Amino acid sequence: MRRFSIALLVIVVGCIAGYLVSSGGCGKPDDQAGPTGGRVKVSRPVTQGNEVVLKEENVEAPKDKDPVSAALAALFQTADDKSRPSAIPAGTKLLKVSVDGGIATVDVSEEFNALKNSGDSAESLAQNALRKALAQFSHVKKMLLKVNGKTFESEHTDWSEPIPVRDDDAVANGAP
Amino acid sequence: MLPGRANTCGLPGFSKGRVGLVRICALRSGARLRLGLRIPLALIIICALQLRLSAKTLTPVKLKVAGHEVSLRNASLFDGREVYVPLESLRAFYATYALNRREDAALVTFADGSNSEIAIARPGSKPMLPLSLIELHLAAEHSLTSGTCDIRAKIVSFAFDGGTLRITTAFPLPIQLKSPVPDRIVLEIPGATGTGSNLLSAADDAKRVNRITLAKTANGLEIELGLAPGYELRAETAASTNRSHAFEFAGSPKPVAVRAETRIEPAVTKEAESKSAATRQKAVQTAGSLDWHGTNPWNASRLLKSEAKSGNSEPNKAPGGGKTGAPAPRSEDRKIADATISALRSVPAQSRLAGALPRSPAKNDESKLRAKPQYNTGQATPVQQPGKPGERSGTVQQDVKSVYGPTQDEGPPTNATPNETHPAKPPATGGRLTDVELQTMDAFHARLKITTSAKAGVTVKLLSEPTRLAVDIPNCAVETEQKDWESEHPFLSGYHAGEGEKPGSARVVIDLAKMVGYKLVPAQDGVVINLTVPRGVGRKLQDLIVVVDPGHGGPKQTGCHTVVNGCTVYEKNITLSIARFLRQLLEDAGVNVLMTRTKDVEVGLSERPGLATDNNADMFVSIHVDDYGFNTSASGSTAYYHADDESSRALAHSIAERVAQVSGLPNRGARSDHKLYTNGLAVLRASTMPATLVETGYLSNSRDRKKLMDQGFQMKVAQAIFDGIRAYFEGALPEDDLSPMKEIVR
Repeated sequence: MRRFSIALLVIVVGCIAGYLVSSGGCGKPDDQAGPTGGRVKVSRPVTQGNEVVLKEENVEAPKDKDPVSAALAALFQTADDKSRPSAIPAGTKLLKVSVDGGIATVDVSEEFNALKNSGDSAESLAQNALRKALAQFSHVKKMLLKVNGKTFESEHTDWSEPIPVRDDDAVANGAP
Repeated sequence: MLPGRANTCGLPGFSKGRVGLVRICALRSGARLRLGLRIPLALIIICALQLRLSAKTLTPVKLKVAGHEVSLRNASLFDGREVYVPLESLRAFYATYALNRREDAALVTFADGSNSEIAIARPGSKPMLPLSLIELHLAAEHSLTSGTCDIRAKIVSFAFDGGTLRITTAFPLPIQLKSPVPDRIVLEIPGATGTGSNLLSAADDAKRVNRITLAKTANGLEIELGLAPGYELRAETAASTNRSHAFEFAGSPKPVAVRAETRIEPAVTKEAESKSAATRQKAVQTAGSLDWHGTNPWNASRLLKSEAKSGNSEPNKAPGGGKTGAPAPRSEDRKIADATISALRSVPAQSRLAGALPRSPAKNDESKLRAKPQYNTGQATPVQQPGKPGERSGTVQQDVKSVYGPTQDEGPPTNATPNETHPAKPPATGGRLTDVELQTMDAFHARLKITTSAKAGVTVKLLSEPTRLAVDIPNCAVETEQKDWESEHPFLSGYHAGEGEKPGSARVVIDLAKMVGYKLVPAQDGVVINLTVPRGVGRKLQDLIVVVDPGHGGPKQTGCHTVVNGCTVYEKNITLSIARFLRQLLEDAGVNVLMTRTKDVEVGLSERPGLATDNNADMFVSIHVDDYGFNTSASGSTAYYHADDESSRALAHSIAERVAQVSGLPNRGARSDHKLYTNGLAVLRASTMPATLVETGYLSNSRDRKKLMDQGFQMKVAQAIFDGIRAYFEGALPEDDLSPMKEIVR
């Protein structure tokens, strides 16, 4: 009788474990494929001659967040690293990230507004660093940036509509 | 376990037992494991069985591409979550593939030449590709209903440029043009899908289209264009590629266009097979009359050439056909190509190649080679006239010496324009330049088709002494039998092919007689360069309205700023100062000038180009100062234009050259604003006339900043911008001593 109870318990536990594994409940869903192993790519500006370009590097992502938030958190951490330049204005914090229908809505702190009174080159770097961070996730197609819940009012370009995170999608959106 | 003991489950030491619903192996009494080991073992077995049981059942699905069923040896499979398509189905998207060594990934080359490595799945032990990964790169969508997976192409771009409306789909689709009433055109795009939000917001700068509506049909999409009086869409032009269809606008009086057909069907289908005979018949019947379907004179001329060579109808190869690992050319293409040739036979030769210059002496007779280019003036069969024979000829080495003047490397180092950054694409290795062909559209438009054996990224430079447009093709050998061609086109006196600056590269040089706007259209077999006279060129300065836009303004919109000796330097003040100088210069020349602001006030981003639009301005020039903040080494001036607008590009080139000349700062050249932002610059995006945004220097760079704060420098920059504007309208070429400019377009 005791053996039978143990065997029954084993079967029940096995069934539950099997269901969780097969349904993805224990892991990342397939349609949210992205970086694995706790490492993500973040882009940092580097100088090449008279140009400044973004260079990707692998960093450890915060483990207490979902993958998209972790990747962005890693990017925003570069803003606090004063030893090297960052595409994100200093002090900018990531407030909230949500992905719905392929659109990642990224809410950041008001320090991001420093870009309003910067040059095109600096604002361009920030936009492209954000796009590259999100382009790591196949289920993220576009991004919508908010500053404290409000649209970022740039003096150079339009951030009010979701922006494609990949160049291919940008082309589909009308870019050459 | 005791050695030698038999068991009944085939594993040593185990015998069959039954626990609950699952059969497991249990140790026989002589080889008992402790309970603590048995539990995890059982757990593993049960988990594995559970996984096995819960695995999705694979069901075969029919594959349709653009509404046509695709015949496949291996059926596509659906596991309840993902559709897997066999590798051979890639041909339906005009894509080719090559497997890696381990055969666990395929390098897929799509119709536009882009590549992507896609991991191979093996559902049902057959190598297949997950459809979602293909769609990720292809801009396509699928719907799965009743065991049929229908994949449709999105409209990748819908853009008005110059005299052309260009529509590009994710993969090749036949676009049909119908004209139900004179002022309304309907474009049928079977097999397409999408909401068309970007399409409906597309701006027609020339206001030839005043309304665009989109409707979904059972077959695909229908786009209805409301045309302004006196305009019509003429047909597809020679620049069409298999994914891209270009429709040319024509004004009144409406010309009669005689076009033959080279249509590329999206897939080999049973339906298409059965209709092929009817298609052939129809193509013959429509020859010599208006035919709006898929006209592609490049292909047509190629077909004619092959026909002339062999005396038979040569099949038009499917893009990518014959490549490593690629599917063979499709029979339907061959049939349609045959049909095209049949159609062409009944059309007079001069109609077929109206306006096109001959290709090479080996392929055309001498009289044709000397033919004067004909402009397409709307006549059905323009007559070619004899012209001057080509004077330039000789070896490639001679060409290099005589044709190519100062190069990028020879220019002043401070004025060297860096390459634009573009997404990395595979370089052409071991390519061959096989043909250069000029097609004259009219006095304001021309096209140069450079045919290569492999698709390649090209570099375009504007050279001086004399002014030429140089197209460099890396890793490419020149195999044209003719090296020099003459032209009597008003803005193009000739073109030449030879070795490039770098060993192993090829260069095509176009001799320019006046300023032109150009656009590069990548093709599977080379590149097409559309040359056009920029909008407004030739107009008198006194007749013009120019909007000058000093960037930023007001207490909040200060633009970039920095503190120098305790004083804050604001971008908004520098831009206003330069703008005031510029206004004075323009007004002195008789130009009507409108300023978006004349003092330190806030002006909305949309109000700035809005002022220009509301006043039907002929040009919009925005003045800014750039800044990197953290980077103090970046330096120089840049002129941005929106997207790939040819006129704005020509204006930006004209101004950037001259500003760099007077500033003494590095010339960062003319760049598309899409290199900055996905949406481009707001003031340029909303401009409907030739427009540029000039970044006069970097406030973050001490040398630039010192100059920018100097009024004398501001006046010089204003003078340079004025000179650039004047040169643009006069169609004047840059001064001889200007540095070469460079731009890379892939």
